[in-house]
Amino acid sequence: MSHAIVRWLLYDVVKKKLDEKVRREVERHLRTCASCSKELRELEKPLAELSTLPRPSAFRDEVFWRAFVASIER
Amino acid sequence: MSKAGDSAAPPPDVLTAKCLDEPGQDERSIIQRAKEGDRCAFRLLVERYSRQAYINNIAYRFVGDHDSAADIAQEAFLKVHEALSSFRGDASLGTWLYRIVVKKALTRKRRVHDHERMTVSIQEFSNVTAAESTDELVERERQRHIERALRELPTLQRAVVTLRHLEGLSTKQVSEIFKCSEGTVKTHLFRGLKHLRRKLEFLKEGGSCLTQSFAGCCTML
Repeated sequence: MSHAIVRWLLYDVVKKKLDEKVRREVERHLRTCASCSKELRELEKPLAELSTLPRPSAFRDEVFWRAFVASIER
Repeated sequence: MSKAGDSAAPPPDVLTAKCLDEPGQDERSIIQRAKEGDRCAFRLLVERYSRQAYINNIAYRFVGDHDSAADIAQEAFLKVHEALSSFRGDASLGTWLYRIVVKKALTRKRRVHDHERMTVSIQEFSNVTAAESTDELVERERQRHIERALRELPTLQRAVVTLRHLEGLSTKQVSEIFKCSEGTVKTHLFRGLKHLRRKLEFLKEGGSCLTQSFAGCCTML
């Protein structure tokens, strides 16, 4: 597997979205390629940090949106 | 523009009347009905997309406060309402709506950016409550640093990281929103994440930025 293809797939590697066969090929490449492994590490850290952020909690309820729709229909 | 809560309250029956939203109901047929002036159909669209919370969340990720996010979401729905008759359906309604939200959120973000730089440190101190433990304060500060580092990224990088990673849109969906290739989305995603990593490392090495504007910290990179 080429560097370009591996790098294209790195985000999906971190997110564990690759199917088994592709994942094994990528991992085989990463074991022997220092530069792609470095790229992977550079993605892992910020993705892990971002994953700790809570979801925004307060969004408007159904009544708010109904009132909004009513207001633009008048 | 007209916004919920700006004018006299609508009659109670408007707020309580149910428009039947069957789970499998095809969105295209609802859009067609809305185009033909079916008020109930438009309301279904608003309810579907506001219920998903994407609209508000995406706006919130950019502007950082719920009131502004709700304003942006309303403006986006209003724009859809006004332009629905010209909607051809080349992209999905969701893609169109997300595109409007991102555009409006980024425009608003630029307007408030300078003001935010000046007020952020004051807000940080005023938001601290006596009841919070040291651990909670440290965690809040850490989250604030991440959020602010994200907001300090170049526009496209921030937008792509937000939509792709935080809101879970696919690379294809993000590429449709920005009308670019999936390769371009990945390029901005990778650059954004690397940029974010550098900002976070800087904060870790330099300690807390709580006592000064974070924007000031980031411009030193």
